[in-house]
Amino acid sequence: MLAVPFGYGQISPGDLTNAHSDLEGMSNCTLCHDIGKKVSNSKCLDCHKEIQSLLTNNQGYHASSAVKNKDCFECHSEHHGRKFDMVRFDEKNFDHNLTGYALEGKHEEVDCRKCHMPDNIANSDIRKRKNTFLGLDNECLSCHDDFHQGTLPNDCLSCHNMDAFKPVVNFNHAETDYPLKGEHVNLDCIECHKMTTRNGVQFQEFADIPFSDCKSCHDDPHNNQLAGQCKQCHTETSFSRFVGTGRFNHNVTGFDLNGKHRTVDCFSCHDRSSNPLVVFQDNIDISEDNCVSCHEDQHEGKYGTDCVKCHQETSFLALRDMDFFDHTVTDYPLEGMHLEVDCRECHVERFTTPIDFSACNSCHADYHQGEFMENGINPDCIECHTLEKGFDYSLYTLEQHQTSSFPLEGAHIATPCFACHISEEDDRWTFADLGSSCVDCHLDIHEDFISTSFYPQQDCTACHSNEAWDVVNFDHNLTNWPLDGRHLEIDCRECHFEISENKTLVNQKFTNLDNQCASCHENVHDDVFAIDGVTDCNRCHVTDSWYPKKFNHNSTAFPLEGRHAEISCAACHEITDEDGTKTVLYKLNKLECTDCHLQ
Amino acid sequence: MTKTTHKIYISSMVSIIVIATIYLAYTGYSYYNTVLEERFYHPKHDWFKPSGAYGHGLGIIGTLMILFGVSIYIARKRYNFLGKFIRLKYLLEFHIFLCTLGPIMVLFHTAFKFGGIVSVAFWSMVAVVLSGVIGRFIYIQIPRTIEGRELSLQEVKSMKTDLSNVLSEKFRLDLPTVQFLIRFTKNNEKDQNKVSLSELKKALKHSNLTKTERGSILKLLKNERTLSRRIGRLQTMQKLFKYWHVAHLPFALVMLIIVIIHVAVTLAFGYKWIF
Repeated sequence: MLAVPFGYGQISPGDLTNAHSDLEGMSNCTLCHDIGKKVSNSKCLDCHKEIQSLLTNNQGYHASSAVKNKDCFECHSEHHGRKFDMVRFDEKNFDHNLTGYALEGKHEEVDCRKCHMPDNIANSDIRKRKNTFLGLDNECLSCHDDFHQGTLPNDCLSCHNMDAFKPVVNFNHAETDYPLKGEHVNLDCIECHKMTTRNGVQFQEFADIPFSDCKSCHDDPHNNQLAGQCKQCHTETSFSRFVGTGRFNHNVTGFDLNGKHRTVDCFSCHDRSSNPLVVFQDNIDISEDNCVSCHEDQHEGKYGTDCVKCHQETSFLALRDMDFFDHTVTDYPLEGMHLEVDCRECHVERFTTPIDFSACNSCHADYHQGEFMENGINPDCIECHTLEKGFDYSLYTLEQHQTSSFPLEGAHIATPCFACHISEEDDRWTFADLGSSCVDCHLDIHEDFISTSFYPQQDCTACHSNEAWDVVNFDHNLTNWPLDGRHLEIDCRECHFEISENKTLVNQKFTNLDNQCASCHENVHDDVFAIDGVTDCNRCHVTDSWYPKKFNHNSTAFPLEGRHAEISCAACHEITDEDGTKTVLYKLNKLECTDCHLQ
Repeated sequence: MTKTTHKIYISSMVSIIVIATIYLAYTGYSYYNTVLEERFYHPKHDWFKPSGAYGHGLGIIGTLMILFGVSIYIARKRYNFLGKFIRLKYLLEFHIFLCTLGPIMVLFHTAFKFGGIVSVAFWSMVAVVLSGVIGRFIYIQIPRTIEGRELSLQEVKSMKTDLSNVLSEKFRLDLPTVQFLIRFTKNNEKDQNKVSLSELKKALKHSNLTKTERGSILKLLKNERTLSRRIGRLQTMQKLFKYWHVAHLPFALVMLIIVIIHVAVTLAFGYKWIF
């Protein structure tokens, strides 16, 4: 019997506190203790779920870094007797920041129990505990009464600070939906935010002030004669200062302001008045399309009074699409090509700015750059061009050309105008000062090939005519090589031009053409008839034909006699070899009979 | 061991006990003086608390001292362990030393938390210690051989000297004086003619003896009187000593059992001191 209390005495090192007294007893040790591990936090937290919950949510003092990693028993020891105070800390020196809720301002001074009291604890279980510091919320309203009775957001610190309820130092009226401006800045809050009673307690209205309508606070001195909102014409600075220009919604008056009407000063249409009941009550029944009731007609009635047909409210100068405009009512009815031209091509300035239409070139630039100027006077375009066919067409005729300083003859008549009149240099039509000599237009291909003595001043007509280039009229006898025989019949080119296979001129020979036959003709005799290495064709041939008229067989070493004089040349001079190829041999060098005749 | 060596031996053990006690009391005074409920908040609670490095250490070392003191004494006494090297008398003194210092350390280990049933072990230890103190008192009343064996009544009686012969022959005292002196040694508390120490000293002063002779005579007479008294009490003491054994040993056993439980529970829950 003694052993039990003896044993227990040795197991329990002391009485548990009152709070844990129901855990007293030998069989309860392992409710808190772990075998071999002293006391485990998890066993503490199994019962103290409120602390576990704070740790889980990382809230409160127990979740702070200073406490979180400690064992429970480091602060909350046990077995120190029934009256032992397990929860004791230095309230004065306690670092409240560790709880996650730093004490600032008034909170620093206030007694702990002013806040840590049952009334402020939401959790009913914790509320019942005596002297607990648990259970408080970070929300201001969990301790403080809501003066604003739910009319403002719960985020008290967005306006108030911890030092005092008043003044609301964090509040900035500029951040509200109604920033204070002008005279409103100087007003006492209570002027707008009235103090009333709500739910039996004093209440100041802050929310839902109908600030969008000035009349909710201010009286209307215009007696509702003016539509729209006050702030369209007035600012907070002063009621007497008018800022309605461009801001007042004039559309509510039945006269929509558009364009320039928007920005024009109100008092350019309405009379000024300091009497709020009189101002803007004049000119109030004018129709929108009755411009002339206010505006002066600059056109003196010429175009009617329907101004908006041409004009816009943006500006008198900004006209609408003027396609409809009948130009025939003007002094210059449009014709021909002019009908298609955009108005602005001619009316560079205002439509009403007069245009000198007496001459084409008052609008059109002179394409010909004064080429046709005579005696300092430029003829007008209309002399050659028409409105109907435009500038691409000219009235200038061939007949007129024939009366010019360069009448067209021969092939020039069939040549298109542009061949001569479009300048290759700047690819434009040119007419004046083209020159009348051939080489002004044509290229002298014979330059350096034919002596200029035959065509002085590169005058092509010395040989050529207007009819065609290949009709050449040249007296070859003027040269030191007069033509005779067959040479009179052949084309000049045969001797003077070297033409390639694709019929282009490769070379031409005139002054440098050799007068030897072989320079043009091929020597088919090789050196058979050469004397001292020179074969003189003229010894046998004449220019009439290739037949050797001058050749006399009798003057050779073998004069033809008898039958030899009758037979053809080929009988003796033509030798046919085994292949059947014929070769003409003029110098046989065999004068014995047996050389030709068979033995 | 000479008488001087023995004196040094005893006094050094006493000094250690006294100094240790004063030291323990002095260093831990502020903690031990704090009421139980407040101790946890004492700045040095973690040091002095029974499970603290210091407090727990005291318990362990103190317990080991007791266990060692008991074991070695029992081993010597019962099983003649180291019988050739140490006399039982001196080992008893060492046993008393360890089993005094040990409990003092355990006392400080408990941090004076011995209210209620918590400290049964402590109180049983106190009982053992107190019984030890009483036992020691009874023990010295029984004359023993130098080896610690109890002398029988006969052996004790033979130790008595022929006092009258020594007094008359050696110190040449006359018969009436000798008889007066012998009356001092008589072990009869109720004797009307009992000579007190002051009367004895007075008588010796008036004799012609030198100061040295007077001292010798006084010492001789005192020894004789002590022996006479012991002889008179011997049987009572021997009876008491038997009963004492019955008390001292069970207390020690109870303490042992509780210490074992205590240590087992402590270890089971993970309190392993510095290990």
